[in-house]
Amino acid sequence: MTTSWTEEPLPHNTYEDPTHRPPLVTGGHTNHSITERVCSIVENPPTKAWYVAFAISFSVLGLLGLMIGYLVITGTGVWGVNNPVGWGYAIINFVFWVGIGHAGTLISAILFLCRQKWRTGINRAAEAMTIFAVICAGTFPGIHVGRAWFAYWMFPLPNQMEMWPNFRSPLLWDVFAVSTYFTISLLFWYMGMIPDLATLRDRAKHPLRRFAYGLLSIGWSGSNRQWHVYERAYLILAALATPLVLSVHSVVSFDFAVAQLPGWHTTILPPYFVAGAIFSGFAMVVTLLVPCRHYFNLKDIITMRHLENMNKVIMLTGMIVGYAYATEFFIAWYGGNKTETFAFINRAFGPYGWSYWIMVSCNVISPQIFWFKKARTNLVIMFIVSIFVNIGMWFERFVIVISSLANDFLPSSWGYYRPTMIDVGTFVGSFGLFFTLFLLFCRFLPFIAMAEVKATMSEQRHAAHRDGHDGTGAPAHGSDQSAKPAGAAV
Amino acid sequence: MAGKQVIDVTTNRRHLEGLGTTGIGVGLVICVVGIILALIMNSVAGDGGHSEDHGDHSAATHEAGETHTDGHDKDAGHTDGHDGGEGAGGHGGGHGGHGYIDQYHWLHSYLMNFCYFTGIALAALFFVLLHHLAKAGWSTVVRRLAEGVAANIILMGLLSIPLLLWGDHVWLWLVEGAAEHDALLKSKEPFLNKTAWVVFTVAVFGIWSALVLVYRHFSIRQDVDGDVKHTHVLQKIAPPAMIFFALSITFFAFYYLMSLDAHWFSTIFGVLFFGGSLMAFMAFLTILCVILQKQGLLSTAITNDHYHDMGKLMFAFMVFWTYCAFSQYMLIWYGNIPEETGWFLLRQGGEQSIIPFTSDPTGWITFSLLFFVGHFFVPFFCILSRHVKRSKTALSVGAGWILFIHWVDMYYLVMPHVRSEHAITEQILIDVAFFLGIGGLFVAGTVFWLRQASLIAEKDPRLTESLAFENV
Repeated sequence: MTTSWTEEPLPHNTYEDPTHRPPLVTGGHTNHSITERVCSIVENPPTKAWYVAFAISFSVLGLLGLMIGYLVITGTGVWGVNNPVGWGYAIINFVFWVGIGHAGTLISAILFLCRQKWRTGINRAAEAMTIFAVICAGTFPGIHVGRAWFAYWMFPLPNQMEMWPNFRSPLLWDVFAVSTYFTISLLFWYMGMIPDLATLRDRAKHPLRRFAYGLLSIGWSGSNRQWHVYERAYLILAALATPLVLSVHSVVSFDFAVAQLPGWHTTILPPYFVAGAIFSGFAMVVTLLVPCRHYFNLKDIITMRHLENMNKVIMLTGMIVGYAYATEFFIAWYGGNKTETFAFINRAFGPYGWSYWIMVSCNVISPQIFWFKKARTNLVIMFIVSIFVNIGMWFERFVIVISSLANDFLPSSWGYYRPTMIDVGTFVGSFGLFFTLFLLFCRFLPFIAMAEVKATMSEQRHAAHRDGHDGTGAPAHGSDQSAKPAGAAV
Repeated sequence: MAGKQVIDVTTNRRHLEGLGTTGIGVGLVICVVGIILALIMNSVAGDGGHSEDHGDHSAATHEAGETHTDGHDKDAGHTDGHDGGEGAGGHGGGHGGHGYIDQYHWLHSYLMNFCYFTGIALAALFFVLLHHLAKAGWSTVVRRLAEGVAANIILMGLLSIPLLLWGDHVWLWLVEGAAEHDALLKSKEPFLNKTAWVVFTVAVFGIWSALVLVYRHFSIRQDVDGDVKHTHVLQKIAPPAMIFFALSITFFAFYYLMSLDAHWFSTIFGVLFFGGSLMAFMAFLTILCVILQKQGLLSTAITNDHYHDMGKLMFAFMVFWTYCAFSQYMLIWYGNIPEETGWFLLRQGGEQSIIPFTSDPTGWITFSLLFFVGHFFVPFFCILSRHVKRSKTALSVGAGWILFIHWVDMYYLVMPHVRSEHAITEQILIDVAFFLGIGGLFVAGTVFWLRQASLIAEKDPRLTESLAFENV
């Protein structure tokens, strides 16, 4: 183990040799040592650092409670929303958190369908992050309704007042899309954890722990028959979750795109939002995993190659987002609609121009550093870029929501939106909720999908074995043998 | 699960040899059949006195509003939400009430098939770039075939010449002085003008051709020396090439398809064209593999596991196309802004009822609805199952349908601009004739490129991995 989170033992497994796939687990691990390493996070008493982090997160969560309490007692007037900007921080934060909640299920479902074995090291933590981000996201529409105690009216519940939500409104579609996504993501996450929970159950010494993990692992015995059914179910859930990953942010984009407001009404918005969501989600995964892999001693499992791959995805999706910005700008001019053209020029050079340029520099320019392999494999740089992307993606939603609403068709109705301290406090508080949940996850649930990592290791051994027979041998990069994804599925 | 037996690629036939000549011959015969069919169509319907109709195109354009006296002008004039005499209306004026097999229709037919095959060749280039960008393994066995299909970009570049010469019969904004009477066209002049368009066409076809030749060159050189260095070089070029590809295919779609109605705009249009083309290319590649294997080539190298993956990509991009098409339609329908809805009204027979078969004399509403069913529901249920994707016969049927429906997609994009007032089936043979004409050349071109080298990347460092690939 290295002494600092910024250091990485060399050589790492990011070398490019087309004849061999580099190993996904380094450090000469055996199945047993993987179990020991991952379970120790949960089984050993928490470190001081964990307590400090938890204390801070929990305090910030308290801030969120205070802000929401004040809001509910007083009313949405405590926020900066007013005419003409009726959607302020709450919607921005909602879209921001939902976006972050895309990476986990993308990694676990879509990369699973694409047979990308490197997902196994990171999927568990990413999925957990997804669930918590969606919880944070769900908070905001709930409190934005004004009378939060009537938030359940968003669901089409039959009631004696014959009050129905407007089915033609994309805001209602959001309720369905996000709640479906949350349900499936939770199920998928939980199902993937069952074999690992059983491992924790079998190792538990305290009867309470044994009972709790026993309850959660619902009688998993690891029999052949159970594995067979389990893998079938996992595949089906992955196939069901895949369209959901794409649909959620598409529906979120409809909130804006179905309107006729310049800057909102454009046909590329759905795929552009999805790409942006993956972009921000991966950035958040990098933000979380870079320190976590150090503090939990997981550098052999969440290797540099995993991080490099994520950085490549960040770079790719960042450029897709850049493509969407450019296309929007071009069509705003090409369409010949003067208000549309104005909306875009106003975004870049109007009263909110500063936020536009924060967005462009963070989302489009900052990931360009990943053209250099040195940057892609440098922990400090990738951590900084991931923070930039998080900031940039928040500002993207700020630009879309605020600049279009503040300066629409009629100059006489223009205004300038200013958030209040309550707005800011609620947003900061949502990070408290997010990190509190994430720290609890680290503490009580298996951080790595042990069973899946072990499966890739056995493939790795099999491929190395076959290469040995071919007489080609593995490249001289440490003691690790190459892994070929083909030919040796378990 | 036991690993697959190691396949020895040298036991496969990997060169077209005599089959190459046959293949080129077949392609040229198809092309000649297409030309003959086109000539027959011309002589049958050519007596309508079309030649005098548009001696002066710009004059015809200005008259558009008046010449539409047959009751259809409402649709055409309405489409772009402006005065008659632009967009579809302008062309309508050209052919008046006569038989309309004229150069408008001919060139639209040509354009539609040109875009169809250019899209497939471009998607093949994308497939090759993506292979290197993602450092993919499984696709190594079919990459050489994709390189062969991609090389047809050079052919398509040559086939763009008729459009460059007579484009003003297709794109109204190319007509001399069209912008004088149209404030919107005037405002778009920096983009929609002849010089920019010609320069764009020459530049993108030039760069695409150069990319294809570079990728083929290093790939074939590796067959000889087996040097891993070539793979590294191609992987290095892939990321910037991909950026260029994304931008160029977008603007290609804007110029060649979206600007058919120069007033209409949609930000997703380029993505939509790309998605459909990639879907069609995966189908083309599948059928190419099946045909080659039927001829005893690459018999053990390409396995059901590879077909499975090709089927998956075909399916994925079919769904992706549907997703983009839905985004475009739903948002425009919901927004209901006149300058956007015109494009769809043209494809739905104007303001008529949208209930099929009720008031649809031209068949366009029915066509649009069937098109959507055929582009999503039919292939969705056809190739969803893994058993279908792992069966050559079943997957070829699905791939054949995909190729057909992508052709219908091009018809849907191009043809309403010249014949939305006419029955959908009227004179459809001319479109088939051009399909055969360009398609025959495309097939001959593919075989021409394929026969120059081995059908498989012989010494690619990832070939072993690809041969051993198992889709479990």
